[in-house]
Amino acid sequence: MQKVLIYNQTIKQHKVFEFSNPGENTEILGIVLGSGREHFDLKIDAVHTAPLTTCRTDFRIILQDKSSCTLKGVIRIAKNTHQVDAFLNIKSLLLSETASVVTEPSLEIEANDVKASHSASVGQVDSQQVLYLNSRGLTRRQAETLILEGFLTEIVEKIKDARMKKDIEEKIRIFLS
Amino acid sequence: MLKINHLFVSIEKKEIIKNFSLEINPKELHVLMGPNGSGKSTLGFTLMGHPDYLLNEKSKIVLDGVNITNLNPEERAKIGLFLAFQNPIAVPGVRVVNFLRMAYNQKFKKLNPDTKNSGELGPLEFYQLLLKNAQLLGIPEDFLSRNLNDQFSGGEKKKMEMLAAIILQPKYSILDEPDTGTDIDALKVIAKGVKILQKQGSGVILITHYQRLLKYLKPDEVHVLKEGRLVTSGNNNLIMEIEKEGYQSFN
Amino acid sequence: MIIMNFVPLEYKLGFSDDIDYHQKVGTGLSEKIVRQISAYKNEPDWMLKFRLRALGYFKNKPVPKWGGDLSKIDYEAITYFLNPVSKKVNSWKELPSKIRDTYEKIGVPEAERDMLAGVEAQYDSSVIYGSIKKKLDEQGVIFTDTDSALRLYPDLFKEYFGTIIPPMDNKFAALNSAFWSGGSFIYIPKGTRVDLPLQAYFRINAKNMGQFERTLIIADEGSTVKYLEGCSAPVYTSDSLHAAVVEIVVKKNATVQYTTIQNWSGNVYNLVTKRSRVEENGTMSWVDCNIGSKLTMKYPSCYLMGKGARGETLSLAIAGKNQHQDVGAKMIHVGAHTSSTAISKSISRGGGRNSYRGLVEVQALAEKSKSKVKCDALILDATSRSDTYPTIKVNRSDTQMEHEATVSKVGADQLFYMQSRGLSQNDAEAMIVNGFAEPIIKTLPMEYALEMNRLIQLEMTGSVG
Repeated sequence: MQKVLIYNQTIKQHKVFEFSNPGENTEILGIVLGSGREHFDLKIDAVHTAPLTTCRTDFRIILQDKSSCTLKGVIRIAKNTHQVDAFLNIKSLLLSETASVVTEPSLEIEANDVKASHSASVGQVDSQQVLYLNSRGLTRRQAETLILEGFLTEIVEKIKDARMKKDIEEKIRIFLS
Repeated sequence: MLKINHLFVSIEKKEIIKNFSLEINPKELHVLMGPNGSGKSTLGFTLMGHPDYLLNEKSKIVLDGVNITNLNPEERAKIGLFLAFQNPIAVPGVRVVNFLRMAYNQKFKKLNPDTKNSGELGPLEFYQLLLKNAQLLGIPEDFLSRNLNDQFSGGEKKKMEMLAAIILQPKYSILDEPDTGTDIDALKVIAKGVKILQKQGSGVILITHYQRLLKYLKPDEVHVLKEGRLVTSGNNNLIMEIEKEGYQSFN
Repeated sequence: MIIMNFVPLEYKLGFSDDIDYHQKVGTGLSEKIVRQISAYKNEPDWMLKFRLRALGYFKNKPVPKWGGDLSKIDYEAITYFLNPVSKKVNSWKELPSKIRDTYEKIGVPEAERDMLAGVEAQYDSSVIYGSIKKKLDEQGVIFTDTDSALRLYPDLFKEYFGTIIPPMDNKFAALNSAFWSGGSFIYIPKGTRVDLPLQAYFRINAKNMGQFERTLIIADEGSTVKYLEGCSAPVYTSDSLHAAVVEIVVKKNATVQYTTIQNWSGNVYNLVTKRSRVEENGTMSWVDCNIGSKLTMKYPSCYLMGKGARGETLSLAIAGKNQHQDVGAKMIHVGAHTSSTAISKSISRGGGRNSYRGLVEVQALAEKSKSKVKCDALILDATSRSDTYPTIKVNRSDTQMEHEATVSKVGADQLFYMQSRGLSQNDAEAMIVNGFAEPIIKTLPMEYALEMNRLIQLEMTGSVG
């Protein structure tokens, strides 16, 4: 099962996903596109209460202008909930001096026969990559747009619902232009 | 003699090995070949006592008169069985020399040690022993201080398995595809290792996919495993037949 | 540990000799007691004021609701002894048998055991101590206890004391600021390199185990020093609340490494505030091993103020039955081109709980800064627990920040592999767990590393705890 979350307007949201059916495999894809003064206050809980459940959560955050985002992602595995495989990844790119991000990926694990991990990174558009694309004839703007698209593609290409995928691709295009 | 009788092995309710039997004497080299998915690795794990692989009531494994069918892996190791893994597992933070010394001492420590000789080796003595054998196999000394299988190349892992085998002086060794993923140099080292094992007195079951390694060895018997069954046994000539015809003709 | 044998330096307080060093000042935390303490120690007026102000903060600040369970601490039951070497037990025999057993198994020599037990034993100054002290004196290095430092180096002391961790910082820093006693004071002059790790063996070890010990280390420009405290053998103490404060000033181009190995008995609440301020191109390195106590809350931090400042924390935490280690690292990037690394390894077993709590904050002026955090947790059985709560706050677009955390159990594949080589399941597990902790243990001096390995081995085979 796949859940797709996309945010491009100021919002405060707390979403709880509970995996209570053994054998449930879930993928949660998230994109945050911040511009202007938008602020995102997000909390995502992935709670495993049944064994043999898996969940992969993958978020991409791009913030420009004066936008900011706080993302708290919790993976919780209850006692005696074995054979769970849980993963959370949050990658953020800040495009301006005035953008800021706070991420708190957390793990609360009470069962031991499980695999749980998370990773988070904050970076910027790689100047080496821009240089490379420049040298192939692209303008700086074009190069940056390409790189940002690539940053999001990893998530977008996984979206199963064709209509939703198209809709999101459109939102991204508007954001990047 | 290692007697493997009527093995029926299943994992997660799926039967992988059907009625497999084989007998091997000390110093003999038996080669086990077969297409992918025939159950070769399952055989190795089963003989070593991997908990996930289940045997039925008919299955029996006897090593030099001792019934090891229900023993756990460390007990089988102590009695004299060795398995070289196809994919040796990395254990970060554990140095090769420390691990092997612990394994060695576990095996050779005497139950009633006399004052002079407890059977165990101290760190320096063991290091010398290990180094000597490593040199025989062309393994560089700095290897011994590295972390067990951690970031080893394919060939390095296979050589390490051979080193462990030789050090532990097993009575019967099962080598699970020691030649997969190795270059010519590593292959020669492994062949050398097999000969050393035989010389030490070990019966060797060499599980392999390719004929490359066999060019350097003289097998006493060759067996073909197909879809979990032992479909044919023969001598060296069998290898040439397989090379020419593949496994289709065997049923 | 071998070094811990030498217990030199009779504890010198700055007051007259006819006072009984083991005098109990009182129970509970009142202004009267603070005044008495300050008076006995003959402290300057500013220190008394400092203590009283801190007491006020302590009383007004609420108990934190995050972290471990602090609800059961009875502040009024804390007894203050004049000599922070509060007598623990009267004889070796009075120690809990579990602790005695561990000492035997790890191989702690009899002479050390008495000292660890806090048994009253007077040791003569050793020859070794004498010659090391001489060398330090020649270099101009100051290494003494905090009480003495206040007396002997008042200006230096006042310049830095309480500047890294002000009393109002948190409730337990306030508590320490009001009642502090004992601890180390170290000053390393400019350009001086101290090669020998300074260890608590220069003072009566038990002093290092004071309830409210307060340590201040000042590494002047270009200097290098390593400091080590604690030991891996379990330490029994009847004091159930330890609130220590460690302040470290790392000046331009200086390097400080501070290693702690804590193994308090299971009745102790260990609430420590440790912080360093790092100037331009300075490096601060915390090595923090938490093995004992009922609850430890400790987050060694580095305020990377100057350009190019570096902070590093290596943390090893082991939590067994009825234990909660709530530990981590804080890296605050203020200056440009600053970098930080935090590596945490935790092992939970027998119902224990490990929580990693960390913060990486990159402030507005921290141009082109980098940070890397890696937390790995091993949960060994179904009753144990592991949490990871890292907070990442980035306010700059040119930051490189990476964080990774994993929680796992001992791999069945690894176990089978090692068992197939003849190791028993217990031995295999112990080896794997030791291997897991190895990146941290290998940074410890050899005696400590060996002990840690043996301790983990024992814990794994269930022979202790």
